[in-house]
Amino acid sequence: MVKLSSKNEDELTSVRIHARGGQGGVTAAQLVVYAYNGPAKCFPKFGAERMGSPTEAFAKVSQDPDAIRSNEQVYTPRYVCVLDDTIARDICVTDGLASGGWVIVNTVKSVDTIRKFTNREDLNYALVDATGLAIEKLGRPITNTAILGALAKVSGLFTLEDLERAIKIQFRGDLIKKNIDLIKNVYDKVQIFEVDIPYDSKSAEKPKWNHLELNYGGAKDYEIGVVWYTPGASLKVNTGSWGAYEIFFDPDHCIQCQLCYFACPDMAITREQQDNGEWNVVGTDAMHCKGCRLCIEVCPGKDGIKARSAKLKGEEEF
Amino acid sequence: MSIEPMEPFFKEIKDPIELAMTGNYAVAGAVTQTDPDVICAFPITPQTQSVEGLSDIVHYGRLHAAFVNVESEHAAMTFCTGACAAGARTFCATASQGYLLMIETLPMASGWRLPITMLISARAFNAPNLNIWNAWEFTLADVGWNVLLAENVQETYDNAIISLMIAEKSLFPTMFVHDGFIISHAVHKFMAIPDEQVRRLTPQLKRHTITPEKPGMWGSVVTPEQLMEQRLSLDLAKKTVPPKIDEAFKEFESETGRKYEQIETIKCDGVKSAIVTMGSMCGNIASWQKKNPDIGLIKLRVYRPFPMLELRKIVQNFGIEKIAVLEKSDAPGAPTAQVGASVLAALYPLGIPIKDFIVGEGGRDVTRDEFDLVKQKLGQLSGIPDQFYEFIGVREQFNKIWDPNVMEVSK
Repeated sequence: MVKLSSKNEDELTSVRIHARGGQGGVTAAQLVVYAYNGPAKCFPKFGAERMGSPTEAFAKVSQDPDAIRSNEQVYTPRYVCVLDDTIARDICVTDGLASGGWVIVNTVKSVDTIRKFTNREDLNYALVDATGLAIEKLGRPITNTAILGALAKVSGLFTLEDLERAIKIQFRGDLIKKNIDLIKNVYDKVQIFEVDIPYDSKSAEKPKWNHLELNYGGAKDYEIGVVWYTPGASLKVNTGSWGAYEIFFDPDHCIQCQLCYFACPDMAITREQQDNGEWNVVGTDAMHCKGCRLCIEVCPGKDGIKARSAKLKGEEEF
Repeated sequence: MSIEPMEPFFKEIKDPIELAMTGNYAVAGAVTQTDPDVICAFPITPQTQSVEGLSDIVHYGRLHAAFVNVESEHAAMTFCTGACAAGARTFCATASQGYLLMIETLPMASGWRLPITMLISARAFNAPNLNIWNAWEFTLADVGWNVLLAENVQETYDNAIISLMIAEKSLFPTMFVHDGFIISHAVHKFMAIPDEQVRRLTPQLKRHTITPEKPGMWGSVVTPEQLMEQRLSLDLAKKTVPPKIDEAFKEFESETGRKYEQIETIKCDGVKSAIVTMGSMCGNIASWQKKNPDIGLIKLRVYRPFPMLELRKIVQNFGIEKIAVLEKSDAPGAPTAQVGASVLAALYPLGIPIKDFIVGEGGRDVTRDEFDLVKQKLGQLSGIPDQFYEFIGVREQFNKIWDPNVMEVSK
């Protein structure tokens, strides 16, 4: 049993849950609210969510209702739960965590590998193969309840019994028993790596204006009418990963009519300027193509063969 | 039942019970308890779950109401107007573009004095690009509806019931607003009140209707000899609404113990400057006040009819010398944005400096950084400003914040 770090009951404690769209990060945050005995609220990060894109959900708990009154997003969590360790490659999961905070990760990797990812020696780590245990207990790799078994153990915010109560609110039928089995299993098996640094909530200050995403353009960078010139309305987001279809281009059957270029809703048709000044279609921007296949729809092709074709990712040609 | 969060409302609630639900489902629950006859709404993010929950409740027979599917928000409000005129207790819900589409039909609801209630899950409208997150589109139409706002899920649940009380007492349609996503998709714990209490709070009141015994015509053509008198009669009627709102708040308090007022003051004793705002932001400011006790918070719960005299009295009584308004709407070309304009008009006789700050549009978080800056700007404010409004918490250029005063940036 871990020694619970002493905490002021009236203080705000916040949890941030990292997941991929569809893994149930928001449900996990809701379960924290159900399980906590006292004032609590949770909400997702407000941004685009699609199956597979990294998402965040937050929970705020405190014995003092005034402490959780703010509807501000969470910038300085004390506990971070990561439902999928591949997220740690894409984004910084330890953002805003003060020394002595906790990172709880679903992983089969060693603590040294995880530390290398996060580059933080001053944090406590709790690692568990939640996916493996979830497949064993639920028959599916859904880890949102599992990770809370670990959170219950390291945080002491709620007990396993509280979590069982929460699961009974959230789930129906045999999922209740399976999930309760799962959290008990995780509770027993989670590996804990503590550092001897007391958590200091005062050192967890929100960096000034960090919510403004300053590395994006500003009001004066826009052209008249705020036209977007970037595919998918964002160069920085790999919206192509959301799509089910991969689009292929065959230049031999392209008559350069440019219909696909106008039809594409995401400006994901790539073109190159020729020596004579004309623009020719040369392919597809896989980073931003969501696989809607409108380009195939409009393609007149040559000799009865379309210049564009789609393939279900990881499947046979469509 | 197919929508699990709605479960508590599938049976009679006999005792006050603590629930944890999203704002939208809490509203769906409260509307269920008020026993409407007609529900007609067109789904739009971020209002969708409220109507989804209600369709579930109606589909499984828990609520005996007509759930009417229509092709647009314009049709939804037209249908609600007709249903309510026929005497039905009618509920609608919308947001953003849906609200803009139904604006054509909104004046008739107030013109005919129909007690429709409507949820607005406040969301930005689409210009110059599409955004589904929070902003205050509802301020765009001033057509005689009562408007209530909520800071959290408890308040939006309560507002769903109080709005109906106000609507039926005042015979004016009433919309209650919660901030899209910030409240509509957040799970908070709140106390639901027993069905019996809701029934006591919302008895069927006598309404004006047309019957075969007393035939008449609604919505006919009137000539220049008539319209102004009809508008004045509407305006005179509107003036009688505020006491009815107070009455509804009092009745609600006596049943539930939860005390509401048209304007609430939070830590205004002894302060020289205060922020006037409404909605979910009030919670953020109240938390920020812990470290900044020198700025008061004046929270508007009722936006229309605007509690003008009360606001003036509050500012006078507390001896507040400077006012900042925070709002999530803008009005290019106007002297200032909508909420700021109302506050400016209300406080005009006091002659104090007032500045309107535009924040949090399109789901931009409104944080302690914004409030720190507002405090700093209030400190610098002397006399009536040339520009009544300004944007804060926005990027001017790549890596540059729109404000010459902000030097301190860490990242």
